[in-house]
Amino acid sequence: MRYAYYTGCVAKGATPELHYSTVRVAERLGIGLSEMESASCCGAGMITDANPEINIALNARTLALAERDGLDILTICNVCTLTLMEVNKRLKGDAGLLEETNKVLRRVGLEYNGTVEVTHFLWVLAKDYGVEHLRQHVARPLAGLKVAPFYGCQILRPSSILGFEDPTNPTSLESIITAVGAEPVDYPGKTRCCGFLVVSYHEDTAVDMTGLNIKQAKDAGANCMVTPCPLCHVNLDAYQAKAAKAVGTKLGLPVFHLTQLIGLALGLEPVEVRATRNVVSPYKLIHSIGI
Amino acid sequence: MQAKFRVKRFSPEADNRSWWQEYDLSVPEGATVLEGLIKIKEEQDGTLAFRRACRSAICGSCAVRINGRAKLACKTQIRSQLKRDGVLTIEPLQNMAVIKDLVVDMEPFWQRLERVQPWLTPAVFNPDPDREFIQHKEEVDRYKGAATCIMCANCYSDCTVLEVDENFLGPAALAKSFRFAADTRDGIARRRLRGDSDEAGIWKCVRCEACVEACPKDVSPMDRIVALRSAAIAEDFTDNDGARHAEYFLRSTRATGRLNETLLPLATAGYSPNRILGMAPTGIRLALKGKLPFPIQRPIPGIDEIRRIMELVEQEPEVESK
Repeated sequence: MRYAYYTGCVAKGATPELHYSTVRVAERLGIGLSEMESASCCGAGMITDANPEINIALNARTLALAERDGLDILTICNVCTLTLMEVNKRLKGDAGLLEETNKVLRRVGLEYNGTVEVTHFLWVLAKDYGVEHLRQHVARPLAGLKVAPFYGCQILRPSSILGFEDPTNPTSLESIITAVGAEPVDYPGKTRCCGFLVVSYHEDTAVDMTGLNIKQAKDAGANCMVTPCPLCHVNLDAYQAKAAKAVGTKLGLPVFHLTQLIGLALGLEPVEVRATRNVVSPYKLIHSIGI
Repeated sequence: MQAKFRVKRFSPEADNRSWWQEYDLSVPEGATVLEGLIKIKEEQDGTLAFRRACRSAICGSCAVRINGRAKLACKTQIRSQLKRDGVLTIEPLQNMAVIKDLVVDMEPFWQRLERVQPWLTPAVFNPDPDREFIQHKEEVDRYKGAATCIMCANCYSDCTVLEVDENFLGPAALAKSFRFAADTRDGIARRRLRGDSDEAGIWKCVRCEACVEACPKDVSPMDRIVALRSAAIAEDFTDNDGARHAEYFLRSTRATGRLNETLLPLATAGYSPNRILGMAPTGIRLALKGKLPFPIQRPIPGIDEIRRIMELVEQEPEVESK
């Protein structure tokens, strides 16, 4: 099993621990990753706002690069997932648009024929690789961790494009939390929004949203959270102090990237999943369960 | 088929108290949630209040939250919503005050709609009002999808921004604004785009896609907000944080192929010294954890291709006109 690995910008920027832990976990699980070093930013929907045609052309290029290598694309960011899948769906469903786009791509020696699928690491583990298979690799069950799953929006909605699972009652993260020996905690905020998109210009709105979700997770008995999206991670983790002020309570809930949580269960040391980089330190919690 | 409805009740007559009440009922296989509610009202509890009219997903009156998500009760089959324990929860819509049981005060929803001037303001004075205003199919196609809104307020209820920020215009009003801004007969599209670009408008949306999921008519409000954003930028309404934020993605991708996350907030703030100072504490916290990339970044391999593609797309209209 090998994928064209699309890191996205954030895993190479604000959350380098995500890229690092993804590579380690994939190695341990025997999932081959060919990093797409020359792929551009997906635009996170913002390039669509500024210029919808450029959004299609740049993401079509990314799809064409994977197609040339005969690989499907694996992402580790919700926003990259939706952005690439949306463009892919439009290109596959509209021969006219595909041809117009190819006119541009051919000028740089590329062409897209619509044969690539885009998937997220969470989905690969939950379905293609399989939760049972993952469980067989668990060297250190994370008993004692009560994990609140935070899906993030753009891995669930809109289901007409993503369609991996029921956006109201998703279960993929829970199945992985259980497979690594931890306990999933249910709470209303698990499918809601962290507000990341506006954090740099409507910070109040964003931290209010983040605060509500973390508080709900904590009130439901969680001692940590996990998310498959680096943008959610930035808000839940790096903005947690501000979010706590917004909801007027202490939070102090460590937030793991999905691959950090899995890495610990596979027997990687905390430093090997770069837990040192998390703003809300998970060390006390990790030590408390004997790691 | 047996079902248990767990209904959130609220009564102003009972000291504004809210409580959960359960009703067991036996319904035909294909019964809708609305049919269930009507059955309860007719056979078990005449005090249960809810809105309904057409029973066929046209009037938009019977929107409630079913198992936590806004839906039309008449368009939702009970069977599809029953959880393993045979229970289904019904609550009033969110982001609005409850009047009684499942009936909410829609006033704030209507007020927002009014603010976007939800009617056509013709570009030219029509001297002969008896004559038709001809539009071609392509022109109608531009806004047709957004014109199907039945104003049920499902999107308003599930909007995650409205939950914390009551100043936001919200998905329904903005989708309505798009419906007229995209209409070739409308003469005030620019004014609409200027208005939608203000503090309460298009740039407040967090793209959570909850409205897209909640809409029973595929209006896809968030996609309309995105269309308004590109139209506003194309019309040069760019002196605001949202537009600067979007345009920086384009600039950064052209420069290095990737997003420069360190410079993004500075560009979004229009490089205002005061605001940059305000960002310093968060910046320092991130830098200490090695989460603030160095601001000067090397272009990625493939940058020439990326720049060339952007250039070609931008030139495209001229190429066609030749």
